[in-house]
Amino acid sequence: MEKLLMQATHFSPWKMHNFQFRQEIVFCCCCCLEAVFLKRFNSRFYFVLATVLWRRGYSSQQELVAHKVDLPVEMENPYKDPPKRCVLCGINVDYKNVQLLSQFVSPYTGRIYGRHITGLCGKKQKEISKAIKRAHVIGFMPVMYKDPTFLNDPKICDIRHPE
Amino acid sequence: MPRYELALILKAMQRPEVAATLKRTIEALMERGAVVRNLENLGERSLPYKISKHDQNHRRGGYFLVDFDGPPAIISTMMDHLGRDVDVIRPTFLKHPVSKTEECSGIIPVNYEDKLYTKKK
Repeated sequence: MEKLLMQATHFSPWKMHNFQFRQEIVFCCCCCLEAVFLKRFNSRFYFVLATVLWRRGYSSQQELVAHKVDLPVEMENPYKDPPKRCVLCGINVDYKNVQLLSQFVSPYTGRIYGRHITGLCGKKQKEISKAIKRAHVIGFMPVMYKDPTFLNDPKICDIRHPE
Repeated sequence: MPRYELALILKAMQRPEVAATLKRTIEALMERGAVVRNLENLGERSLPYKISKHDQNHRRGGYFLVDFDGPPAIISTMMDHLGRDVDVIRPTFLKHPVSKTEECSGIIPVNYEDKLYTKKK
C-alpha cells in the first residue's frame, strides 16, 4: 500500500504518516469521500491518491481490522507455577509440640539449624526459633541435645545436602 | 481482659497432693480476679534438664496448662505467690497463643538485584 503511494506521489518516506491519517478518514466513508477529494483538490497528485485509496478501500479496512484482532491479548501468564511453599506453610507453630520443634534442631548439640539447612521461609524460621527458645526456658525442651525419643523422626533438614 | 496461659511444672508427687496444689493455685488465681477457662494435664514426664528449686534437685515433673482471663496486674503477684510455693518447680505466664492459620501464600521470590540498586537516597 505504501509502495503504491510512493510511486504515485514521489514523496519522501517521512511524510507517510500524514497520508495514513487521510487513509483512515477515507475508510470511514470511502465512496462519498472520493468525490470530495476529487472536487476539493484538483491537482493530479490528489486525484491519483484518491483513486488509489478508493480502489484499495475495502481490502485495507479488512486488513486493519484483522490486524487488530491478531494482536496478543494482554493477560497474566496462565501457565505460571503457584508460588513455592515451605514445609511449614499453613501449619501452626507452638512451643508445646516439642516433636515438631525437635525436627529443626541438631541431634548432637541441640543447636537450631539455619535457614539454608531447614529451607523454611523467613516468617516460619523466625517462629520456629522463637518457639524453640521459649520451650528451652519454660522447661519443655532440652537445650544441649535432642530428645532421644525424637531421634528417629522423619528428617526435614539434611545437614549434608542443605537446601 | 487479655487471655493468658500458665505453663506450670509441679514436683513429681502422688495424685492427692498434686490435686491439692492445683486447687491452691487456681483458687489464688480466682481470688485475684481471674476467670479460669481450662486446665490441661500434659502428663508426668522427666524434665529436659535438672532443675534445682527450693533446695531440691528435680528430674521428673508434672506438666499442667492453665487457660485463664485476667487483669494484667495479677501476673507479678502470682509470680511471687508461686515462687514461694514449694511444690511448684517452674511457673511461666504467657499470652495465650492465638492459633491463626493464616493463608500462607508461599515463598515469594525476592529480586535481590533491585534491592541492591534502588537503595540510593
